[in-house]
Amino acid sequence: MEAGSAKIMSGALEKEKSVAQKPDTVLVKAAINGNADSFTELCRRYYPAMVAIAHSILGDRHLAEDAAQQAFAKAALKLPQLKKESRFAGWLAVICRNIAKDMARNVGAGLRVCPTDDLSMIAAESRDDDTAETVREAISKLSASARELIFLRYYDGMSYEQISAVLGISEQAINGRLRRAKKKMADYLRRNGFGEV
Amino acid sequence: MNKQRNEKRLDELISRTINTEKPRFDAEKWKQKYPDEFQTLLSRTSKGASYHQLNIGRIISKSPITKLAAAAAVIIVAISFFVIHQGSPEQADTTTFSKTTKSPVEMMTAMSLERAFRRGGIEAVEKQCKEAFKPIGPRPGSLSVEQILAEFNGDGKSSERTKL
Repeated sequence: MEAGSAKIMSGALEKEKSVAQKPDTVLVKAAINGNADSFTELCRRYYPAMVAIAHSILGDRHLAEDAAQQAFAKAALKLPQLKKESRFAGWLAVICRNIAKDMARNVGAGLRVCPTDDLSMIAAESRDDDTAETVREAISKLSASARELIFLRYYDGMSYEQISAVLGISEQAINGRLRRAKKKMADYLRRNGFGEV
Repeated sequence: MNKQRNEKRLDELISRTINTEKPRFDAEKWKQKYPDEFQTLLSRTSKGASYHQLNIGRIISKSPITKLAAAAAVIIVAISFFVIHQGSPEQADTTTFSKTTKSPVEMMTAMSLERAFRRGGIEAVEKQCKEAFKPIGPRPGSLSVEQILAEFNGDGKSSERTKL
């Protein structure tokens, strides 16, 4: 009995492993044809990135997770409308961004979800409150796209390749934008008594 | 060296401020939260293949060659449609013209005139005569159809023949 269940478990793990190794295009095609495992794998693959995008807009981790899940729900419905399978990540990011913006508009007044407020919560958890406070201020001074990039890069340590897939821009462009964003932050921190950063 | 150190410090500061616990996707929870969407996804199992087969628009728009081919096909179909619909009455006219336009001699043979008479009586004969004489100008008013018929039957006088 135990041996049987172990066999089933190992079979499921094998299946999961094989799905995880497949490229996006294969998974998207399978998901369009109603393969739930492929869609789940895509969700698993892009969940941190979607949460990071939503977090950069909503400024709240829990709301960001809700937005990411909602984005997957919408993607499940609209998947056949996707024109190019290779652009799934970018397409999903657009959905997530729009949902997060809608959520920010709808709940903004009650929850005060502007990034500055939420980042202060993050700062409270950090070791040095003052430092984190100034860093979050520096992040909040960035443009929406630069903030999104910073979140993608530092939220889960995403590689340039992964960010490139999500944002649909080259790795060189990501490098340039990140440099500019970090320079702006460094300037802000320097002006606010951080010395050399 | 200093620059590198500064960059490293900034990276640390950002990471410390932003970096939180890695979000993990819970598929089961998601399925429970969005059952309709999940069902819609599953319902495409049978439709999926046919969906792609039927989506000609997507196939065409995928590459410039197929776009050109589709445009050419549309143009060919449009031209042939135009030719068939616009050209057919003309074609019909030309065929009827070729069928009806005979030489005046042919039109004035006894058989031809007899056929015309059977078709529409003396009026049809008159009409055929008019058609036959069109290439050589208007019929003299002094000549009647009967006289012409008599001429063609070989009963006419030579003087009248010269008048013609």
